[in-house]
Parts: sequence; C-alpha cells; structure tokens
Amino acid sequence: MMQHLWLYLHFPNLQLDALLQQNPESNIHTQAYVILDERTNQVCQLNHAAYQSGIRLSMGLGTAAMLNGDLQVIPYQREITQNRLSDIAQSLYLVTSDICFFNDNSLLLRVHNMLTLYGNLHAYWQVVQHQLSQQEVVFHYATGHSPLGAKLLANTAWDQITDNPNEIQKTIAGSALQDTDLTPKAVEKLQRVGIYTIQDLLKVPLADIAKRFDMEVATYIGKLTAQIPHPVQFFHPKKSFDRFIELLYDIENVQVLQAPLKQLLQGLEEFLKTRDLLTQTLVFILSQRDEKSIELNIHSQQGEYLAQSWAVLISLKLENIVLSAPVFAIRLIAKNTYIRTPEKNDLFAGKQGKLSRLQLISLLQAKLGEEAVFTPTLTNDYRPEQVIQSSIRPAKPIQTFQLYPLRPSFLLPSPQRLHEKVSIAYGPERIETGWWDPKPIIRDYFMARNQLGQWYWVFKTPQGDWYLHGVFS
Amino acid sequence: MAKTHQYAELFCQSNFSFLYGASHPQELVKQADFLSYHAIAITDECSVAGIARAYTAIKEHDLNIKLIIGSLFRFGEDLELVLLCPDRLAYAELCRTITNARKRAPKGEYQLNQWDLLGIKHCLAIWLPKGTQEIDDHWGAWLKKHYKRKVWLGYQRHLQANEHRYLTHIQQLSGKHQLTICACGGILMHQQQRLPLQHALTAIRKGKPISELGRQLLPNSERYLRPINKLSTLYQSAWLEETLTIANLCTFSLASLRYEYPSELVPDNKTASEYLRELVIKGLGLRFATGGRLTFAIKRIIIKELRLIKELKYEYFFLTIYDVVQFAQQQKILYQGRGSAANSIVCYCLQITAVDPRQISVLFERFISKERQEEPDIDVDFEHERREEIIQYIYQKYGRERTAIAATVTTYRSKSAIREIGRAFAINESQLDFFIKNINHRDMQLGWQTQIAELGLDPSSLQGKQFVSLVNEIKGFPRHLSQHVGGFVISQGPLYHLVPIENAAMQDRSVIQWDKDDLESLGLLKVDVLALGMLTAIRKSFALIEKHYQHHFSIAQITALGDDKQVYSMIQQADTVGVFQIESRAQMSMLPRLKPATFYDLVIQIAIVRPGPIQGGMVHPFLKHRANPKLIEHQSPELKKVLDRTSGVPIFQEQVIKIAMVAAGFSGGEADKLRRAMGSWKKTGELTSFKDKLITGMSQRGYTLDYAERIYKQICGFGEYGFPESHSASFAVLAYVSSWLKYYYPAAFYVGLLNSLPMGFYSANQLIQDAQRHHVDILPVCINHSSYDHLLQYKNRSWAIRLGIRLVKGINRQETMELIEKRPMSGFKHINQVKKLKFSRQFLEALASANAFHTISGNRFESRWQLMDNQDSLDLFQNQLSDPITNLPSPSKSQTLIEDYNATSISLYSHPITLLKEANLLPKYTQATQLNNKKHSSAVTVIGVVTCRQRPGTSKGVTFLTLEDDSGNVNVVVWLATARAQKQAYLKANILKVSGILERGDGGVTHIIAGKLEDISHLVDGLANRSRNFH
Repeated sequence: MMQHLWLYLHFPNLQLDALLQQNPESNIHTQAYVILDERTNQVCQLNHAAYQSGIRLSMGLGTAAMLNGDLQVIPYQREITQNRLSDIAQSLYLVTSDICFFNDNSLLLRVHNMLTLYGNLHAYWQVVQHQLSQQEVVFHYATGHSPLGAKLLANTAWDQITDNPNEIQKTIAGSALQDTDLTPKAVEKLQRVGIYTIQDLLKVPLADIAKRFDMEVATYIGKLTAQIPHPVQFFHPKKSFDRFIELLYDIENVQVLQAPLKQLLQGLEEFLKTRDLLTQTLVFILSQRDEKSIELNIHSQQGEYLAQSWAVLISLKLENIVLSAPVFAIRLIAKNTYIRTPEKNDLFAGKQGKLSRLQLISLLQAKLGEEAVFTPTLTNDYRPEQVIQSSIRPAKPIQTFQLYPLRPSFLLPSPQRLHEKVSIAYGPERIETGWWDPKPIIRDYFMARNQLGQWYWVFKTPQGDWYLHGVFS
Repeated sequence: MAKTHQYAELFCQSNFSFLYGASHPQELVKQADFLSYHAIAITDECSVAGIARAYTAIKEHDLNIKLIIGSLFRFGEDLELVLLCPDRLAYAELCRTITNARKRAPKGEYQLNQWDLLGIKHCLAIWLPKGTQEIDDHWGAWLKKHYKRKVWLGYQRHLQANEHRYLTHIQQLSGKHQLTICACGGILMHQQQRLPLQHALTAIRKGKPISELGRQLLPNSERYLRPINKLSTLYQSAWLEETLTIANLCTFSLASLRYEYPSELVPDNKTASEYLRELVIKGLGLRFATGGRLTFAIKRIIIKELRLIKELKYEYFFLTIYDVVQFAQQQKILYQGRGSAANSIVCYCLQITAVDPRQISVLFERFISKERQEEPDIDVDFEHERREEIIQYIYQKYGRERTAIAATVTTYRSKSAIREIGRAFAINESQLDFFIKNINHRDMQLGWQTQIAELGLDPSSLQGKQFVSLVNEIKGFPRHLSQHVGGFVISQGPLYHLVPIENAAMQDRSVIQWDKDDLESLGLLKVDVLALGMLTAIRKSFALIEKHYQHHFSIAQITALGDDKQVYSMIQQADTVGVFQIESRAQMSMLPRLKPATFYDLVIQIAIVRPGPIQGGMVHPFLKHRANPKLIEHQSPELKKVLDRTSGVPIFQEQVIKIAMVAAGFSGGEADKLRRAMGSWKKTGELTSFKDKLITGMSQRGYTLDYAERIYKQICGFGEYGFPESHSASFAVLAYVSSWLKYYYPAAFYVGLLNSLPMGFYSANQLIQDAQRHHVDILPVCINHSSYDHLLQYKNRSWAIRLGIRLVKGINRQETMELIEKRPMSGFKHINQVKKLKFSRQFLEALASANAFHTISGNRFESRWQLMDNQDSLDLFQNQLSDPITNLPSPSKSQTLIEDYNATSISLYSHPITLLKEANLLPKYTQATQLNNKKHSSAVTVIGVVTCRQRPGTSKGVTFLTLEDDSGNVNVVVWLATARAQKQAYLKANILKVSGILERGDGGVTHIIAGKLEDISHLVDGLANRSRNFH
C-alpha cells in the first residue's frame, strides 16, 4: 500500500492579511500591528514590525503595549479569519480534492491520492503553490505521513515538501514537546521525568506512557506516528440555493417573466422543504441582452419557503421594473436561510387578519420600498425631540415601558419662537441633560394658556428666550 | 423689601452614600456655610461615615454652621425616611438602628425591618412621601400613630414634571394626617457643576453607559445647595421656617461624644491611676533590676509621665494595651510597641516596648504633648503568624458588641477612575484595558492625559475633556469601606451607642463606619494590633538558640547588652541581607556612608533613607555635617535645641512640627493641624495654606527667606512618608536585634527567617545564597532527614541548615506532617515504602522532583517515573521495581538546575551563570566579586540573573536592578532614558548583560550605571527563576 502523505498549511496572520488586502495603502508594513484575542487578552496575530519590537504570540496586551508605544491593536474577529480560510479552501478545491479545516487558521490536504493525477509531488506542489500565491497570505507548510506529523512540522515553519520518510521522521523526532498539540500541563509532566523531545518520548514504550499519563499523550503519539488512524472531515463546497436558468427565448414583457420565475421559486420551495429551511432574502439577477443585468432584492420580514408567498412579493416588485432589453437568463440566489422553527401562534392572541403583522410589513415594503416604511418608537430620554423616533426596522410592536409625564398631544417638529401672550399655569419643569452628546439642552418648560384659552407647552432658555413646543389637546 | 429667610438643610447626601452623592462632606458644609445656611444635616443612606469629615471641616475652617447628624433609610419600595438626632440618646438610637440594619445584610448593604422603625423613640423623622395615594395614606397614618409629634412631611422641589400634582398630594397628606410640612433639598451635590459627575456615578451604579440611561438619570442639577433667595421663590416661607424649628431641636454635637474605656481592667478597690502606678513600680523592678541603678533623672521622668497620663485621663488606654501584651507574653508571642507614647518609660516598665531608655535617653522628653492635644499613639506589632490569636483574645475578652475594627475608606485612584468613567462613557472595554495597561506608571514625567492622547483619545475634543475632568473629579471619592489592618476600638458599653458597626468582608469581623483620621478628630482611641514578620523570625531564632545552644535571649536582654562593636562593624559593611529595615538596596547603599556605630545612629539611618528626607534634600547636608560638626550653623538657639541631635538637619517628623512651633510661632493646635495636613497633602493640597504662615512667621523671627523656603520644602517632602522618631526607634531595636542574631548565631538567624517566609525583602533563594556566603552549610531536602520547616543539624562540628520540605513547590503542610509522622525511626529504605503510604500523587511527585529521594532511589527522573506508575500498587511486589528503567535519560547539569528551580526555586549545586560559563556561551565580563578591583568610572560589562527590579517612588525614574551571578550580586542603576530606549531588554530579560560605567561613591558603594542592556535569557531556555517586580 502506498504510504499516506499529507500537506499541512498554516496561515498565522489571516486577519492581518485580510486587512492588508483591503487597505493596500495602509501602514501595516511599517507600523507594529497585533490582533488581540479579547477573551484571553493575548496577542494572537502579529506583523513583522511588532515582532521586531519584541512582541510575541500569547503575550499579554499590557506587556505588548509597554514594548511598543505606537502599537496598533485590533480585536480578533473569528468570522474574518474563517471567511478568509474558506476562500482559500474554495480556491484550492479547484486543484485538489480532499481539504480539511484545522483549527481556525490551517488547512490539511490529502496528497497521496492526488499524485496519480499530477504525476509527482513536485508537480502537485507547483499547482497548490500557484493557487496560494494568488491569495496573498502568509503561510507555513510541511508534508508528513500523518496529519499531526505534517501539522507539527508546519507549525514550526519547517516549510519543506518531501515524501522521504527518513527526513520527515528525523525532523519530527528532533521537535520539542512544546511545539506539539499536547497540553502545556502534559508537556510539563513529561519534562519533569526528563522527556523533552519527541525522540525522548518515542524511546519509551507506549504501554509505559499509558500507565503514567492521560490517554491524551498516548493517543497523540499514536496519531503522530500513524499507529492510530486519525479520521478527518473533508470540506465540501457550501451548499446553498443558487440556480441559474437560461431562457429558451428572450422575454421582453415583465408579465411574461412570471412563468419562469415561478419555476425557479418552485425549485426553491422544494430545496427549502427537503432541508426544512426558511429564507428571508431572494436575489434575482435578470441578464439582459446587450445591457447591464438587473438585480432584484426581495425581503420577507418573516422567513418563507412557499413559492406562492414569494410570488406575491415578486409581482409587486416587478410592477416597478422597466426592462431596457430582453431578458435571456435568470439567476436566483437564496440568502439568509435558516432552519424552520414552528411558529407560536397564540389561540387567544386576539383577532388577526389573514396577514400577520410581519407579512403586512413585508408587503408594504415590497410595494413602497424599504425606506418608506417607518415605525415610531419611544426612546428613554428626557429631551422631547429625542423621545419619539422613527425606526425603519420594525422589529417589535411598541412597548410601553414607563409612564411618561404629561406631554402635549401635538408636538411641533421643532420649537418655534413664542409670539403670543400667555399666562403660565404650571411649571417650571427643568430639563438639563445631554451634556455628553451633540444635542445638550437646558430648558424650563411651562404649561401656559394663550388668549384663546388653548393650553400651550412653552419653554424658556437660559438666555431668556421663549419658545412654543407643543399644544395640549 | 422681601423678607430674607433663613434655612437649614435637613436632607443631604454626601459621597459616602456611595455612587449617589457627588460631593465630599467637606464641600457640602463649606458651601452651606458660604450660602449662610443656619444648619446642614449630613444624612447618608444608612450611614454616618461622612459626618466625621464634615465635623472636622467645620472645626478646622471655623465655619459658622451647625452640623446635624442624621441618616436616610429606605424601607422596601414604599417608605423613605430621614432620621435626625436631636440629642445624645437619639444619636445612640440612630447608631443602633444602622448597626442592626447593616448586620442583617451582606457587606455594603442594609436591611431595615419594621421593628427598627418601631424602636425609634428619640430621633426626629422627616418623611418623604412617594406620591402614591394609597401607599402614602398608609404610611402617613402609621408614622403619625407611632412617632406623633416627632415626624414631619418633607417636601422636595426639584423642578420636575407634574410638580403641582405632587404638591397637592403633599398638602392633602398634611391635612389628613396632621403633619407639618418642611422644605428639604434632597441634596446630592454642593454645586450644580457636579451634575455630570452625578450622572457618571449613576452610570457606574447601574452598570450602563450614561448615554443609555435616559430617564434613569437626574433630569437636571436642582439637587444642589441652592441659594436662600432661590429657595424663597420655590417654597412657602412657613416651610422654610419649619426647617429652623427642627434644626433648633437638634442640640447634639459630635464634640460631646465621650469615649469610655473598658473598666474591668482595674481591680475593684483601686482607681485606674493607682493601678497604673502600681504596675509601673512593679515593672521598674523588673526592667532596672540588672545593669545599673535607677537614676534620679529616670525617676523624675516617670513621675512627670504618670502625672501627664493622669491629667489627660489616659490611664485606661495604657492599661488596655498592657492587658493585650500581657496575654502575648503568656502565650509567648513576640511583640514590640511603637508610636509617640510607646517610647515612654511607662511603656518600658509596662513591657510594651523594649527600648532601654538609658541608651536613648534623649527620646524621652518627647512624649504625649499636652499643648499639642495629640492623642497618645501606641501601635503594637505582633508575630505575623500569630496575630490572629491576639485578635481572638480581644474579641473574647470584650465581645463583638464592644469591639470593632476601624474602617479604611477605599477611594478611587487613577486606574479605577479611568476604568469606571471610561465605562460610563461606553468606551470599549479592551480599549480601556489598553489605556490602563499602557499608561506607563514607571514613566511619570508624562501626565496620564498626554499619555491617553498618545493612545487615540483626543483630549481637546468635547468627550476627551469631559473624560479627563470627570476622572480627575472622581479621584479621591470613597468607593467602599473596608477594614483597617488592625486598629481596634474597644469600649465600656456596646459600641453601637457610639458609632454604627457593619459587617466586614471577613467572616465574624465587624468594622465601625469611621477611619483612623475620623477617630482621631473625634478623640476616640484605637489600639493598633499589627502583624510583623520579623518578630516571627526573631522568636523562631530565639527558640532554635535555646534548643541547640541552650542560651536564652529576649529582645530586651539583647538591647540591654549595649552597643556591640562587631555587630555595628557588620552593619557598616552593609552585610545586612535579611536584617530588619536596613536590608533594602537604598538602605544598604547608605550604610557604608552613614556608618552607624550606636543605637541612635541606627534610629537616624532608618528614618533618613525614606522618601521624605531624600526628597527634601537632607541626606547630603546630614552626611557633611556629621563628618565635620564645625560646619553646622544653627540658625538660633531654639532651633539648636531641636536639631542638635541630628547634626542640624531635620530628619524626623517631630522635629518639623517642633520647628513650626519654635521658629514660626505655631500654636500647639496649629502645629497639630499642620501634622495632619502633612499626612494628606498630596490628596488634599491643604498644606499650601500653611506656607504663608510658616514663612511670615519665620521671617518675623529673624530667619532668612531662603531658610524658611527650605524648611517649607522639607515639610512638603515629609508629607506622606515622614517618619516619626518614635517609630524609627522601635524599628531600630528590631534592626539591631536581627543584626545581632545574624552576627552571633547566623545559622539560627537564617532558619528563623526562612521559616517565617513570606516576609521581608529577599526570597528563600537569596537568603540561602547569603547563608552560603557566610559559610553556613546547607543540606538538601531529604525524605529521611527533612521536616516541614527548615532545621539546624549538626555536621562537621558546626550547625548546618537542613532545608525543609516547605521549600518544595506544590506540597501542603498537612501531608508533610503526616509523612514525617509515618517515617520509620531508621528512615525509609525504598521508594515503594513511601509509595505504599497512599499520599497524593502530586505530593510525592513534587518531592521526587525536588530530589528528596536521592538517598533511597535513583535520580529524580527515575524516582518520579516510579511514583507515577498507577498499576503496581499491589503489596506483593512492594520492594521491587515496577519497570526496568532503561529508556529515561539521566538529568544533565542544566536539567538538574532547571529541575531544582522548578521544584524549589533554588539550586545548591549550580548557578545558571556557571553553566553558561562552562558551556562557553558567555562573552567576557566582570564577576560581581571582581568589581572591587575595578577603578571608579571604568567601563565594565556584567552578567547576571535579574533578581530584583525596584523603582523607588523618590528616584525620578531610576530603576535599580539586582543582577546575581555565581559569585554575588551586582547593583545596576538604569536611568529612565536608558530604560525607555531599551525597553525590550529592560522589561523582559531574565538574564541580562549590562555594559556600563562603574561608579564608586563615598563609603565604597559600587553601582554600575547601565549604558547598554542586552537580553541573553535565550541562552538558558526554560529557566524558571522569574524576577520579582517591586513597584
């Protein structure tokens, strides 16, 4: 049997790399940058300049900041790293079939079964290297006969590609225990009996190790030396609904588009139903002949899978669309997909129309545009201007969380100079707040009556100016 | 003309209502006085913690305002009540109520119950209705029924919404329940400008940023002390006048608090004074029985002291302390008194101190000063490991009702202020962490504001300015009360008649609500029961000497032997590692220059190497004058009297006070204020107010302006760090005794110290190396010879130190004692014998790594390997090896060293520098012991393990590093600029190579002034000897 061969790729600086890619002009090359893991408050990625000033991985922020006063600190965002890694995997998937994610910053490739395709290891590495070079990321690599062997060597930046078992074993044997996946506690325990390197460790019979240490150590040695199989899960490209249909004939009339759209929606419904998923956003891309394609985004406030429901929203949206050229193809992508949870409709929730509140809002948004639908919300603030705010994200019905003091039913959008004579009945109510933001106020509010007997809400500023702010009903 | 009203504020919370009040009690009373209020009540919530400060401020600034004592209580959601104290009985009632409510709840909280409310018979109550009809009707009727004419309706007007409705409600309640309305302010700030700070405090309390709190914040700044004419427009005049009526009913003042000592200490048929005299006479016989006769001078002083004690009625204070030390003597707990009154002959006779007056007769003139109205001050230090026994004795003797510990008020400091204000501003937590960690406290030249600017918060932006100003404002605000290290207040009756008591964080401890300054300003006495490691070490050394040498010593005996030339010669060479007080770097570098040769020299030595005298620039003149007394120019005969004994330079706190009196004409009372201001001038800046008086006073008496300015500067320098002569004298006793032990019984001295760790300045490793340098044999930890503690063991015709198992990391005392109990008389023969005893694996493995099995097993790796096997515990094979050990490597030299350090932090056989040298890894350098052969100002390179980084507060950015090579220690001075430029090596290195210039000062003190620092730690990987950072 052919000996197994693995390639381990370690990307130590994914978030920094991503940052540099997005801002090629930035000073990341010259200035010291670190990525900080906020849970542990330790440095988890760093650039060369940071390394030069003495900063190391796992160093606490305090020490790092002491070592370099100009240090730039960016919090670690797992998502960025994962997306970046996923992009890399996608691109490698074009040239190699078996890819496995390791931690958040490494990929393991199964090499031995690709060699027949590429002829030899060198040719294979050429192709992989080419793919990687397009990604503009820092990486370390190594081959090994077990996943953990390759990992150990890559993590110590061996950066060698070989299938020579002696060479690999020799290098692994010389590795220090600190560089392995063994816990620091296990490493310490081993060192206390004089075992400092893999070589020292391998000299001791596995059975003797098993009698004295946790299973962890024996398992690790087994996997490292490929005596114990190390099952890995391979990466499969993301499966989400993304379907492209080419029309049999060009369509110029929006109404006629409904039929192929319905077909796509049926496909979506089936896709979602078999996976028990719901989706909130659909993106239609209408490819127009000799013209720019049109992108339609349709949202539903409530997750949907039914073709019928989506069809209603789409036909509303299509009303506003003018085709500048015939459409020859349509692509449908489902976004914001999630697993369906049963709706909780309360039997006693009161009378409800056929549409739920969220369905109604979706309908209005589809018809009028998302920006046109507002919901008033009450804010916790003393300033009358700040109390009522409109929000375009109508998440929940308004809750009355606190009784507000007597306020006029008609509040002017902005206070107006008071030009009439009024007689003050109650007050003052002094509001002096907001010193921390750009809209501080100091006002004395009064309830007053004008000559006609209307109740006014007026205020006086510290400068002595009077304003009308509202009228009581 | 409108009638001018008078007003008394009856509801006012200071910042001792933690996270509510936004002004200090002092600020409130000063502002109220400025506004010509008739009176002000400080009514913190279930607390009187702030009133002592208000009282002191009124006294110190001679304010013309009456202080009323009171407190705010909340009972559930429905009832808010301010209780005021008209008389002493009401005050006791208030204290009792607070105590009961506090004791029911965890630290920092309180829980009132209906019985508390029913128990109120003497206090006046101001009820603050909630505004809800039903609830208020219930409580209106209840209060009227139980409190009758002692309850008022407090009407607050803060310009809030719908006040007219609330007013109608109040008036209805007043009519319905026949309660008189009085105005009250509900004060939280002394000035309107404190509103942002009050908002920030609310944010801290609620744990949310200010911007998210909205209507949970105060709507405006009306809860400040408002001018009377403004109040006249807000309240009906009758309601304002009612405040005066209430204020006039309150006649109680804190000045009338009288402290009563426990009387059980005096036998029934005697007065306290007679009893004290009797004890002193008894003590005279004991103290002066040997070594000379009782001189006439001493007799005269005793008579004078006893008369003064009688006049000031301090007999019970002395008797209380006498009682405590008597207990310590019975229990054979070593102790030592110190403080202004401690160095009296009375204290010597009562065996509170061991300072022989014949040695330092000069001290005894300064005792309790009648004119200075100073309270007598006696602190007693006890062995640190046994102080708890003393505390338990006090609790048992007087009961928890009559004994409590003084509080320490924890206040906001830079870091906590930045953190909490930052949170209130919604600054990201990790960014704040970064701020706080990045503010270089070692780098004090740049203020924190500028440093923060460097970190990205623009100090000129609105938010930046607000941030900086709020951080500055909140600094010094109290955060919570915690317990003082050992200041006990003991009283005749229940303490809660005198001051409220609350729960401390420690179980079964209670604290009173005042701190030591408050107690002092109210004239309450506390007994300080402190812990001192050196006393433990000395007692242990005495015990060893008695056991192995059959010599009996006590502190008093050693001091009575007189100044020993050989001991002083050792001190003069700065051979003082492990000795009390004079073991620090700064002290050691001064010893060869000061060359102490008598006890009083030692007293000066201890006081002079302090930030005060160093900052005040007194060290050099002192050295100069002492070397050549002709240079001393006394400015006047009065000053000569004060300064003669310290070569014309003020060194002790008492001298500075005395100068203010004799040279600037301060009265006794003023001098006392000066003394207090000195203690806190960095915090309050109050010292500046004395500057004019001092300088004019001195000029008037013919002193030059230059001299007066210098004296003022010295007073500032003394500020926080000034050392009273009396303390210094007591410390000098211990410094001398420990030096004496080190000289005559070095082995016993080191063992005493090692068995008392952690304490002092040096680690076990450093002490053991010092012992080796003094030719004391050190024997390794051994399973068959070691005990838990270190021992003396006779070897090669002298006493060697057998290291104890306590040195091994990761072991516990209990298992060790069990092991020793089960050890056969002839010792263990085989490792499996030990294994069979079923100790925890961790314990045995730790012993193996410390090489404790070296006499009965192979090397430490093999021993540990055998102990780790979990499958061969069958008795059948008990004396056979479980596995042939073939594959384990034997420890190399460097592994041995690493294992030694990992297991015990010390290595008896090797030193990292030796190993590096043997491996030819080190460049050319000069050994510590060879530095003496180098010339002053020559360039040298030294290499060593960094054992100490010390940055004294006085040294303007200088850091002292101690490098240890295999021959000894090297002192390195790193200037701020050098440290900044070579941060990496300076901060991180375990092993450092330093190239620099050798400097040899007068007296032969050698330092290396660092030029280039090079981190060479990588040469020994895994060396676990981390240096200790002193701040």
